[in-house]
Amino acid sequence: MNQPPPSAPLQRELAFFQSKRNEWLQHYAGQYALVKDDTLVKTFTSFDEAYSAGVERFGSEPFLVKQILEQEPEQSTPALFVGALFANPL
Amino acid sequence: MFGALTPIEVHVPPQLAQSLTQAKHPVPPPQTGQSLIDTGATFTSVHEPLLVALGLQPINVIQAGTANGPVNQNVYAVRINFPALGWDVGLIEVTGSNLTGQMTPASHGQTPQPLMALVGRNLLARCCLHWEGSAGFWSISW
Repeated sequence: MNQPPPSAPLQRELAFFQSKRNEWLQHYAGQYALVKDDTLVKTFTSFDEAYSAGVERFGSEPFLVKQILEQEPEQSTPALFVGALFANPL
Repeated sequence: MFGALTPIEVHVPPQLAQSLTQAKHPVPPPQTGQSLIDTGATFTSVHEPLLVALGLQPINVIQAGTANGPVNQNVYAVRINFPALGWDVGLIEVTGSNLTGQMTPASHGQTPQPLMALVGRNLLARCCLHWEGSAGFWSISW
Protein backbone atom coordinates (compact mmCIF):
# COMPACT_ATOMS: atom_id res chain seq x y z
CA MET A 1 0.00 0.00 0.00
CA ASN A 2 1.27 3.49 -0.83
CA GLN A 3 2.30 5.72 2.04
CA PRO A 4 -0.08 8.66 2.64
CA PRO A 5 1.24 12.07 1.64
CA PRO A 6 2.88 14.12 4.43
CA SER A 7 0.02 16.63 4.29
CA ALA A 8 -2.41 13.91 5.39
CA PRO A 9 -0.69 12.20 8.32
CA LEU A 10 -1.97 8.98 9.85
CA GLN A 11 -4.63 8.46 7.17
CA ARG A 12 -4.15 4.70 7.17
CA GLU A 13 -4.26 4.46 10.96
CA LEU A 14 -7.29 6.77 11.19
CA ALA A 15 -9.22 4.80 8.57
CA PHE A 16 -8.44 1.57 10.43
CA PHE A 17 -9.51 3.15 13.74
CA GLN A 18 -12.81 4.29 12.23
CA SER A 19 -13.50 0.86 10.77
CA LYS A 20 -12.93 -0.80 14.13
CA ARG A 21 -14.35 1.83 16.49
CA ASN A 22 -17.70 0.10 17.14
CA GLU A 23 -16.05 -3.27 17.72
CA TRP A 24 -13.48 -1.80 20.10
CA LEU A 25 -16.15 0.15 21.99
CA GLN A 26 -17.53 -3.20 23.16
CA HIS A 27 -14.29 -4.07 24.95
CA TYR A 28 -12.12 -0.98 25.32
CA ALA A 29 -14.45 2.02 25.73
CA GLY A 30 -12.59 5.01 27.17
CA GLN A 31 -9.17 3.45 26.71
CA TYR A 32 -6.40 4.76 24.46
CA ALA A 33 -5.62 2.74 21.34
CA LEU A 34 -2.07 2.53 20.00
CA VAL A 35 -2.38 1.90 16.25
CA LYS A 36 0.32 1.43 13.63
CA ASP A 37 -0.72 0.92 10.01
CA ASP A 38 -3.61 -1.60 10.12
CA THR A 39 -2.76 -3.02 13.52
CA LEU A 40 -4.07 -2.37 17.00
CA VAL A 41 -0.86 -2.73 18.97
CA LYS A 42 -2.53 -2.51 22.39
CA THR A 43 -4.94 -0.43 24.45
CA PHE A 44 -3.99 1.55 27.55
CA THR A 45 -5.83 3.24 30.38
CA SER A 46 -3.93 6.53 30.00
CA PHE A 47 -2.53 8.67 27.21
CA ASP A 48 0.92 8.70 28.86
CA GLU A 49 1.11 4.91 28.85
CA ALA A 50 -0.01 4.66 25.23
CA TYR A 51 2.44 7.32 24.03
CA SER A 52 5.35 5.80 25.98
CA ALA A 53 4.64 2.38 24.48
CA GLY A 54 4.45 3.90 21.01
CA VAL A 55 7.83 5.60 21.33
CA GLU A 56 9.39 2.50 22.86
CA ARG A 57 8.22 0.38 19.93
CA PHE A 58 8.33 2.79 16.98
CA GLY A 59 10.74 5.55 18.03
CA SER A 60 10.15 8.69 15.96
CA GLU A 61 8.07 6.87 13.31
CA PRO A 62 4.42 7.98 13.02
CA PHE A 63 1.85 6.11 15.11
CA LEU A 64 -1.69 6.89 16.25
CA VAL A 65 -2.78 7.33 19.87
CA LYS A 66 -6.53 7.88 20.09
CA GLN A 67 -9.10 7.47 22.83
CA ILE A 68 -11.88 5.02 22.01
CA LEU A 69 -15.09 7.01 22.41
CA GLU A 70 -18.55 6.58 20.94
CA GLN A 71 -18.49 10.12 19.62
CA GLU A 72 -15.38 12.22 19.32
CA PRO A 73 -15.82 15.56 21.10
CA GLU A 74 -15.43 18.53 18.79
CA GLN A 75 -12.66 20.88 19.86
CA SER A 76 -12.73 24.62 19.47
CA THR A 77 -10.44 27.61 19.84
CA PRO A 78 -12.86 30.50 19.32
CA ALA A 79 -10.25 33.23 19.75
CA LEU A 80 -8.26 31.76 16.90
CA PHE A 81 -10.96 30.60 14.53
CA VAL A 82 -13.27 33.60 14.71
CA GLY A 83 -10.29 35.91 14.38
CA ALA A 84 -10.68 37.53 17.79
CA LEU A 85 -6.92 37.63 18.26
CA PHE A 86 -6.59 39.71 15.12
CA ALA A 87 -9.34 42.11 16.12
CA ASN A 88 -8.29 45.72 16.42
CA PRO A 89 -9.54 47.74 19.38
CA LEU A 90 -11.86 50.58 18.41
CA MET B 1 -4.25 44.19 31.46
CA PHE B 2 -4.12 42.48 28.04
CA GLY B 3 -4.50 38.98 29.40
CA ALA B 4 -2.63 36.17 31.01
CA LEU B 5 0.64 36.09 29.08
CA THR B 6 3.55 33.96 30.26
CA PRO B 7 6.75 32.60 28.73
CA ILE B 8 6.54 29.00 27.56
CA GLU B 9 8.99 26.27 26.59
CA VAL B 10 7.86 23.45 24.31
CA HIS B 11 10.12 20.41 24.51
CA VAL B 12 10.41 17.05 22.81
CA PRO B 13 8.64 14.59 25.17
CA PRO B 14 11.06 12.87 27.57
CA GLN B 15 10.19 9.45 26.14
CA LEU B 16 11.18 10.56 22.64
CA ALA B 17 14.27 12.41 23.90
CA GLN B 18 15.44 9.21 25.55
CA SER B 19 14.79 7.23 22.36
CA LEU B 20 16.75 9.75 20.28
CA THR B 21 19.64 9.73 22.74
CA GLN B 22 19.81 5.93 22.72
CA ALA B 23 19.88 6.02 18.91
CA LYS B 24 22.70 8.62 19.13
CA HIS B 25 20.55 11.25 17.43
CA PRO B 26 20.58 14.85 18.68
CA VAL B 27 17.62 16.01 20.74
CA PRO B 28 16.28 19.31 19.34
CA PRO B 29 16.42 22.19 21.83
CA PRO B 30 13.09 23.49 23.15
CA GLN B 31 11.10 26.14 21.32
CA THR B 32 10.62 29.18 23.55
CA GLY B 33 8.34 32.19 23.37
CA GLN B 34 5.19 33.71 24.77
CA SER B 35 1.88 31.98 25.50
CA LEU B 36 -1.57 33.34 26.24
CA ILE B 37 -3.98 31.56 28.57
CA ASP B 38 -7.22 31.04 26.63
CA THR B 39 -10.04 29.67 28.77
CA GLY B 40 -12.27 29.52 25.69
CA ALA B 41 -10.10 26.92 23.99
CA THR B 42 -10.70 23.24 24.63
CA PHE B 43 -7.17 22.27 23.56
CA THR B 44 -3.79 23.92 23.93
CA SER B 45 -2.50 25.11 20.53
CA VAL B 46 1.12 25.61 19.49
CA HIS B 47 2.33 27.25 16.27
CA GLU B 48 2.73 24.17 14.06
CA PRO B 49 6.03 25.09 12.34
CA LEU B 50 7.65 25.08 15.79
CA LEU B 51 6.39 21.55 16.45
CA VAL B 52 7.75 20.45 13.07
CA ALA B 53 11.07 22.09 13.95
CA LEU B 54 11.20 19.85 17.03
CA GLY B 55 11.06 16.87 14.68
CA LEU B 56 7.70 15.74 16.04
CA GLN B 57 5.19 13.62 14.14
CA PRO B 58 1.43 14.00 14.71
CA ILE B 59 0.02 11.30 16.97
CA ASN B 60 -3.65 12.03 16.22
CA VAL B 61 -5.93 14.17 14.08
CA ILE B 62 -9.02 15.84 15.57
CA GLN B 63 -11.85 17.96 14.25
CA ALA B 64 -12.02 21.55 15.41
CA GLY B 65 -15.09 23.71 15.03
CA THR B 66 -14.64 26.95 13.15
CA ALA B 67 -16.92 29.65 11.79
CA ASN B 68 -16.58 27.95 8.39
CA GLY B 69 -17.31 24.44 9.66
CA PRO B 70 -15.08 21.69 11.05
CA VAL B 71 -11.42 21.46 10.07
CA ASN B 72 -8.84 18.78 10.82
CA GLN B 73 -6.01 19.64 13.19
CA ASN B 74 -2.91 17.59 13.86
CA VAL B 75 -2.29 16.62 17.49
CA TYR B 76 1.24 16.31 18.88
CA ALA B 77 2.66 15.04 22.17
CA VAL B 78 5.00 17.55 23.82
CA ARG B 79 6.48 18.42 27.18
CA ILE B 80 5.55 21.93 28.30
CA ASN B 81 7.34 24.05 30.86
CA PHE B 82 6.42 27.53 32.11
CA PRO B 83 9.75 28.90 33.38
CA ALA B 84 8.33 32.08 34.91
CA LEU B 85 5.78 30.07 36.87
CA GLY B 86 8.21 27.32 37.84
CA TRP B 87 5.75 24.77 36.47
CA ASP B 88 6.87 21.79 34.42
CA VAL B 89 3.58 20.40 33.11
CA GLY B 90 5.13 17.26 31.65
CA LEU B 91 3.65 15.29 28.77
CA ILE B 92 0.54 16.75 27.17
CA GLU B 93 -1.33 16.74 23.85
CA VAL B 94 -1.44 19.98 21.84
CA THR B 95 -2.87 20.87 18.47
CA GLY B 96 -0.77 22.37 15.71
CA SER B 97 -2.17 25.77 14.73
CA ASN B 98 -1.22 28.69 12.54
CA LEU B 99 -0.37 31.57 14.87
CA THR B 100 1.45 33.57 12.21
CA GLY B 101 1.11 37.27 12.90
CA GLN B 102 -0.18 36.89 16.45
CA MET B 103 1.83 39.25 18.63
CA THR B 104 1.85 40.19 22.29
CA PRO B 105 0.75 43.79 22.91
CA ALA B 106 3.24 46.64 23.08
CA SER B 107 2.53 47.71 26.63
CA HIS B 108 4.60 48.96 29.52
CA GLY B 109 7.48 49.70 27.15
CA GLN B 110 7.80 46.05 26.10
CA THR B 111 8.51 45.12 22.50
CA PRO B 112 5.77 42.96 20.93
CA GLN B 113 6.77 39.32 20.61
CA PRO B 114 5.29 36.50 18.54
CA LEU B 115 2.68 34.46 20.34
CA MET B 116 3.63 30.79 20.00
CA ALA B 117 0.92 29.09 22.06
CA LEU B 118 -2.62 29.40 23.36
CA VAL B 119 -3.01 27.55 26.64
CA GLY B 120 -6.36 25.77 26.59
CA ARG B 121 -8.48 23.85 29.03
CA ASN B 122 -6.82 20.45 28.58
CA LEU B 123 -3.79 22.00 30.29
CA LEU B 124 -5.73 24.26 32.65
CA ALA B 125 -7.46 21.11 33.93
CA ARG B 126 -4.21 20.40 35.77
CA CYS B 127 -4.18 23.65 37.76
CA CYS B 128 -6.19 26.31 39.56
CA LEU B 129 -6.28 29.67 37.75
CA HIS B 130 -7.05 32.65 39.96
CA TRP B 131 -8.08 35.84 38.14
CA GLU B 132 -8.00 38.89 40.42
CA GLY B 133 -9.59 41.36 38.03
CA SER B 134 -10.05 44.25 40.43
CA ALA B 135 -6.36 44.16 41.38
CA GLY B 136 -5.17 43.48 37.82
CA PHE B 137 -3.26 40.25 38.35
CA TRP B 138 -3.65 36.49 37.98
CA SER B 139 -1.95 33.46 39.45
CA ILE B 140 -1.78 29.72 38.92
CA SER B 141 -1.33 26.93 41.43
CA TRP B 142 -1.05 23.23 40.71
